[in-house]
Parts: sequence; C-alpha cells; structure tokens
Amino acid sequence: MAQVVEQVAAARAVAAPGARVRRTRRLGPVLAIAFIVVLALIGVLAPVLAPDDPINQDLANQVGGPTAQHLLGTDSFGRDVLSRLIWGTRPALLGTLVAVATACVIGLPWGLVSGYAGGLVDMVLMRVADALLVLPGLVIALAITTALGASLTNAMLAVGIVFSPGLARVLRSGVLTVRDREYVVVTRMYGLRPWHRMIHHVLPNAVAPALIQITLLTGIAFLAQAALGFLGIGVSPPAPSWGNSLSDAYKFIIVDPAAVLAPGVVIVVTVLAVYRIGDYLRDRIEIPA
Amino acid sequence: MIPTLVRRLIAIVPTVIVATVVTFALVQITPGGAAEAAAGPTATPAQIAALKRQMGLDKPVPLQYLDWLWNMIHGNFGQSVINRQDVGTEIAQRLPVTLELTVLALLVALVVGIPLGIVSAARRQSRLDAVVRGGSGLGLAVPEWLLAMFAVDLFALQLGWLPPTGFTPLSENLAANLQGMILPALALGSGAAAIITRQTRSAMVEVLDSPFVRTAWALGLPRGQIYFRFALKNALISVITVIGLIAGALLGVSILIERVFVIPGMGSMLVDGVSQKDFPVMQGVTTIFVAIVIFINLAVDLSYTVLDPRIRR
Repeated sequence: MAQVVEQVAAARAVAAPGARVRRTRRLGPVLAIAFIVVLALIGVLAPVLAPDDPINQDLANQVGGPTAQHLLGTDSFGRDVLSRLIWGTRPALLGTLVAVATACVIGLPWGLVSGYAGGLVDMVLMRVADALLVLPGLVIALAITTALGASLTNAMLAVGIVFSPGLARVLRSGVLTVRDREYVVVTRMYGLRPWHRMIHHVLPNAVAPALIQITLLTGIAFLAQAALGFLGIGVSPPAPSWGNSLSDAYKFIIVDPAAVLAPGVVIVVTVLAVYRIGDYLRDRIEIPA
Repeated sequence: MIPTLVRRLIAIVPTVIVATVVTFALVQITPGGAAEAAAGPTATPAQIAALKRQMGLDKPVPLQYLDWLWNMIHGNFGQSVINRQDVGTEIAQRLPVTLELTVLALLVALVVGIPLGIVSAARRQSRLDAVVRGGSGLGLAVPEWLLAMFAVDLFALQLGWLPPTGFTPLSENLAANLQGMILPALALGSGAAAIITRQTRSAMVEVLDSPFVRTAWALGLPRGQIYFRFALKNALISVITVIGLIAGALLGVSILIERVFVIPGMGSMLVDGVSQKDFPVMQGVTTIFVAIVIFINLAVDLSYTVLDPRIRR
C-alpha cells in the first residue's frame, strides 16, 4: 500500500514544485535521523548488546512473559525475544540496503539514459517502465524470488528490481528539466564526452526528486523485508529476523501479546522515522522547475 | 466511446507483452531451468533431458514463449511440480476467495475514506480535521498485516466478537462466510482507506477553493447541493485515479492478510509456489494477478471518459 503513496507523492513532487511550502519543525527530522542511527548501532553492536544468545533454546521456559532475565519474554522455543529483536536489526537493515542499492543501480542509469537520450530510446525505455509499474509489486517480487531462489538477499534484490522503474521515471523527469539548461549546453561546446556530461553535469542537478523517492523506497523496502520474513521467505529459521519473530509470536498471541507488540512497534516507528526524513527532504530540497 | 476503447486496448499491449515476457523469462534465468526444478534434486541428466523434451524445453526460446502464452490464454497453466495438481483447477477454487476479500476491502476503504475525506475538507483546520489527518497518517504507517494480528488479538481472542481465523466457503454458508471476512476486509482496507481519505480531502479542498464553488456560495445555493452536487462530483475523479493503483496494491497485500487469517486464497498458493520453487504454480498465479491488475487499470481509464466529459474526444 505504501507503494501507492510513494507513486502519488512522487508524481506530485515532480508535477507541482513549490506546492508544498509547509515549514517543517526542526526537531522531528533530527529525532528521526537519530533513531535510524541508533538502530544501525544496535545492529552493529548486537553481540555486545543482546543479553542472551538469539538461538539458544530454553525449553523449560517456552512462551514465557516478561521476567527480569527475559525482559520481553521468551518465544515458542524458549528463546529470548529481546535478543532476537536486537539481532534481527542486522537482516532488517542489510535487506533494506540491498533493495535500495539494487533500485539505484538499475533505476538511476535507466532514468538518466532515458531522459538524456530522448527520442526512440526514451520512448522504449519508458514504455517498459510504465508496463512494469502497473504490475502488483509484491507479486512480481515473489515471482522474481522464485527464480533467484528464496533467500533474504535474493528476495530484497527482487524488491529492488521492482522499485527500479519507478525510480527511473522520477530521475528521467528530473533530467528532462535540466537537459537543455545553458550549463549543460556549454559543456557540449567544450566537447565533453556524453557520459562525462551526463554524470558530472546533468545528474547532480537532476537528482533531487530521485533522492526523495529513494528515502520513500527505503521505508517501503523496510516494510517489505519484514513482510517477506513473515511469509517465511527471507531469513531462514532459526536465525533471527523481525518477520520470523512476528510469524512465530503470532501463533501464541493470546498467551503473550508482548512478543508480537515489540517487533511490531519497532517496525512501525522505524518506518515513520524514514518517512519523516523523506518529508523533511521534500520540504527542503529545491526541485528544479 | 468506441475509439477510446480501441485506443486504450492498444495502449495495454506493451504492458501485456512486458508482463508475460517477464513472467516467462523468470524460469529461463533460473539455474538449471524448469526441467531441473521439476525433476527434483535426485534426477539423472538423462531423466532431465527426457523431461525437457516432454515439456517442450528443447525448442528455441521464442517458440517456447509463444507455446507458453498460448497455453496461458487457454487457461492451461500446467501441473504443480509438487503435488501434480492442475494449477488452473486450483486457481479456479482459490481466485473467488481472494477476489471477495479484495472487493470487500476496497468497499471498506471507499465507505470509510470518502466520507472522512469530505468531512475533513469541509471542516478544514478544525479539531476533527486534525484527528482525521492524524488517523490517516497512522493508517499509512502501520502495515495492514501487523494491524490484522492485533485485530485478531483484540476482537477475536480478547472480546470474542468474531472468529479469529478460518474460512467458510461462500456457497456453504453466507453468514459464516461474511463473519469470517469482516476482520480480514477491515485490516486489508485500512491502508487503502487512509489513502482514499487523503486523496478525497485534498481533491475536495482544491475544488472548494475554486471560483465556481465561490460563485455557488454567492448565489446562495444550499450547502448540501454545493458540497455534493458541485464539489464532490469533481473531486471524485481524482479519487478514481488512485483506485486503480489501490486495487493492485490490495491484491498484493491480500497475500499477507490471507496468511494472518489462514484464508485459502491465491496468496498462500503463491507463497507455497515460491518457497517450493513450483514454477507452474508461481507463473499461473502471477499471470492471473497481472491480468486482473491490467483489467482494473483499463476499466479505470475507461471510466474517466464516461465520468469526465473534458477527457472525451
């Protein structure tokens, strides 16, 4: 669903520059960025921070509620929920990174070439992008995952591939607005190579809307990572991931709702933080008209 | 009307080609390809070669694509690699379930979203508006499947109002079927409701600020007539624009919702197909989903021409 928002928002960001003149309060984005940094630190420092081994089973203590030893209780195998949550930060962040990087590697050259070349190349590239954009993202991501093999990296690669046509479209419209500006035309007089011109003169000036899009995609990738884990595609058990933990804890939600609540709240807050950063960028970055 | 239809049909041709080529090509890029996946890990090279011939995989790739497309068009999706069941038959059983869930969720989204959007726009900057906007922001941020789990916990397990999971076929018992669908439809529709609320609000605000509405106020027309006959009619067009996108997204999210509520729809079939590398199942389900989404977008495109005379040519 978030992808719909992203498409609508991206269309609006491109179509109506300056339509959003709302002044953003400073504290929100600072808190949002701080939250993401803390999350990354938790991921890096997981071995130090986790109170317990995330796959250590305490079978005498299954689906236990919060205690002093297990602050968030234990799951159905008697594993410490808090430790699994802390270790789960790693696949969550790495998976998101894989998806967003894939989207950039495919989508940015796609949009850049399409916008800069124009003509037939542009028409063909954008027709393909439009055709792909119509398709339901999660379904296509799952289909691609089948072909690549069901693993976290492959699933997030697939998510990145699904993102790329949207990113290409946004960058293309940015490129179109600067392509014929004087400073670009001048480089042609200097006789710079087309690639040099595209990367050093067109891209930096056209990339702003794409950057906003990338923040939005980060939030969606993050959700996708959790959703795929919940479906059992991604990190294979017993390794900890938030999606796995959720799908496991859900079976025992009546006994121990805290085990569902904890990863759930972390996911929602993280997504809100990422969107907040995206909103901030949208208000701050000047989109070339 | 008729020329528009033809134009739109021509416009979806590239989409259909790209979508089918992608679905088809996925099997081609798999290490070993479909025959090896179908034969299983213990098969000998000779068995794989025999299976390849049997599946027509020794023909040139473009020919294979045309064969495959021909089979898809005729509803011949092949057999599941895992349980040897006919994929088309299974889809025929499961598709109505997913469609019912998605349509109900879309109804929830429209019934909740449009009135909230209207009220929010009419009482702009009021406390009510702030609540609606905050609520829709939250609806966007909380993933539907997470909300679904908490809904099960609260309404089914704690309060006992509705069955937690399980599915009764529509043909068996209508009341039980609907009862089991309430929570899934509400959960699935939550994000869509938030989007429709926002879309309705911003469209209504735009129309309410336009000169012709000001003129209507100046003429002293009744409030209801201004809001509904003038403003809403114009605002709804931009709501319909997002319905195509939303319907596609709902189909995708339904996979997760079906998982939470253990509903035997297309989603669980696709997830099983993916984790078991069952290509015929995956291709069949993907093709059906893609066909539905393309059809919805076509319908939305055509509905503009009916609803908005300015687009008619």
